[in-house]
Amino acid sequence: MLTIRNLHAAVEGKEILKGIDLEIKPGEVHAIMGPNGSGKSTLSQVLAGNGNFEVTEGEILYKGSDLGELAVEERAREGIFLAFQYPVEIPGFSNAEFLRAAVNAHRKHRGESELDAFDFADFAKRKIELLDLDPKLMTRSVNAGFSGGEKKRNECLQMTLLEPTFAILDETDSGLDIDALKIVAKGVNSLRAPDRSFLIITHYQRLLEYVVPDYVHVLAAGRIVKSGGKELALELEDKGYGWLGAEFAEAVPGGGEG
Amino acid sequence: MNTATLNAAARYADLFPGYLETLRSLGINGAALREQGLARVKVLGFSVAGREEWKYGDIRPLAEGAFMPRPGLVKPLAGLALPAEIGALRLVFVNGRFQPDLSSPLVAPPAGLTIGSLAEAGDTKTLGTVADISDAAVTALNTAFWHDGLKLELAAGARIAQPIELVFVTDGQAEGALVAPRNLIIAGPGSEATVIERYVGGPDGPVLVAPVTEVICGENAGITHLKWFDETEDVLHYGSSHVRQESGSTYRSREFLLGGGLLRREVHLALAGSGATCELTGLTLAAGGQKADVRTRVNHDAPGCTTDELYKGLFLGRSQGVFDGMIKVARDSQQTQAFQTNRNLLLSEDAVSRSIPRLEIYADDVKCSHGSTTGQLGEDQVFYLRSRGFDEATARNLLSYAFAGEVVEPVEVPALRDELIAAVRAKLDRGL
Repeated sequence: MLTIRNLHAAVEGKEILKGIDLEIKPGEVHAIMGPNGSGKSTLSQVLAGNGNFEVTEGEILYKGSDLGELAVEERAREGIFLAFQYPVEIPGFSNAEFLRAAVNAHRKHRGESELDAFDFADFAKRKIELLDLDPKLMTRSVNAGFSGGEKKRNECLQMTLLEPTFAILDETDSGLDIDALKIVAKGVNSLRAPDRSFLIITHYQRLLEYVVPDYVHVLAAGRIVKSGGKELALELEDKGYGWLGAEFAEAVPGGGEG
Repeated sequence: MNTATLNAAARYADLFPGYLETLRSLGINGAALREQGLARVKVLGFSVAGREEWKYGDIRPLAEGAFMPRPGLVKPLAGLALPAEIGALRLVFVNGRFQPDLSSPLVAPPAGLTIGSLAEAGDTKTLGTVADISDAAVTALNTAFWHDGLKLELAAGARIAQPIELVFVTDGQAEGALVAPRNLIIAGPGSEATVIERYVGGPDGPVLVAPVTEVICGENAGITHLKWFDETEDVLHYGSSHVRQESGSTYRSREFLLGGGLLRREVHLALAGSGATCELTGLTLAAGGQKADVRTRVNHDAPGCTTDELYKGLFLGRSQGVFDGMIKVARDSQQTQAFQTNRNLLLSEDAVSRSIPRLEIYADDVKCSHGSTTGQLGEDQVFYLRSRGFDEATARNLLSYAFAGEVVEPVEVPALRDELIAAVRAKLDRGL
């Protein structure tokens, strides 16, 4: 599904990712943990194609092709989805219209007919219920005035509507209470399938209790310093990052948002 | 004052006696007010120098073009294109003249509504009492050279549900003409109506369209005034609305500056009676080499009045825009609430917009604010939409429309609103 080889990436000339190697196979759930400033969000932005981040070395293969060749929207239509850490507000653009237009952009790409407002309402209804979103949020502007939890659940709604093949969740669990967290997990689990993969970026082990990962990686100072199974998340939760030893201590530059 | 501008005023003065003759032969009266208009044109001229009125706007094309009043243009050319019907009571004016054949039948208007051609009905009492020409050359020019327009009177308590739509068209015959429609709206106490002014068409060469509309909102009257400017790029449009509000009245002005080569729109509003409310919104969507210039002047002359003003501008291509707004609160106008906002979006590197929001407050117990922003589309928003599968152009158009929507969506006449939405989207799609 996704192969990352020796990935280096910089923002405004400053190198953040310093050689990442990662292999994600169909159906797998990978979690990436690590302290602030380690490059977690940079990785997610690079995968989504944010032009502010420059790939300086290495490559990303998605379904066997060079991801760098694809524009942001092409990546999206080819099934890459990023749930944003900070979802963007768009005053004046109704959430329902936004969601329908996004779904239709994907349908058009697949050669399927576009959904009208009624068909879309039918299609979306069950997913809105699953994520326990207030239907009133559909008539409001995209994310404008939404609470933190509503924004995150709106991201999950987009994910369940767009049915991506590779979904990245960038700290989707941050700032959520336990009920909201369970709802988000329910949304993710509803999508788990043999041909769909997830990359979950998180600070906490909490979400991983509900969305159980196949692999956990620790990212520090732009490199993956340790990989393991789901039990690695528990260890990190118990012991913090210090027990990883000198290797890790060296990898912590300190400060900065990742 | 340069030669061209001197010549312009002098030329209009030379034309005036012959013009009055023609009007007399057509049975159109009101020479006294016209004389006053001409006198003002002669004094003010069309010079930029030292005139606050033209500090930010552009009067040169008007001063330099030799436009001729043509009241003799009575019949439109065959095949005239008119906007689709929107279920309104429609009055059509072609090259400034009322066209009964193209208009809704006016034989039995709703009770309390008197409506028709200003040239036919005449007016010696109210006309010119709202529009101040002392420092306004183009309004003075209109006052001298208008030859038709709307006269609308609402009796006390008359509530007219059907919108009244004025369509002003210029056709191929109007090349080089001065077209100066004059409209008068007198809303009696407690009356209500919605009036739409639309300006469309244009000849294949320059024309000067210089309309003036005067509105009197009687006590507790409510007037909604929707204005849509969508003329061709050969049209120079310099127009204004002049409004006086009595106690407890409500006036809503919504302006949409879409078409035209050069557009200058002014709103002059006097809150003359206590507890009156006005809402002024506007959208400028300019592209190519368009110039669009908005000037608003609101005077709070009575206590307890409210102004809510929001103008938005989107500028593509090499277009240039101005927003010059002023709210003045007189010394005794306590408990005034006045809010003025101007937001502009520059959608190309070559587009320019100037924003001059102003408040002048002489009372001490008021709630007022003003603000202005000019910027570009948020790249984080563009990225967010692209990450959901929208191509970049679509993302930018959706965001531009989202920006404009705030002033388009509240349009009170649904059919007009739908048409406006389509027109705004189409123009954004064309880009440039």
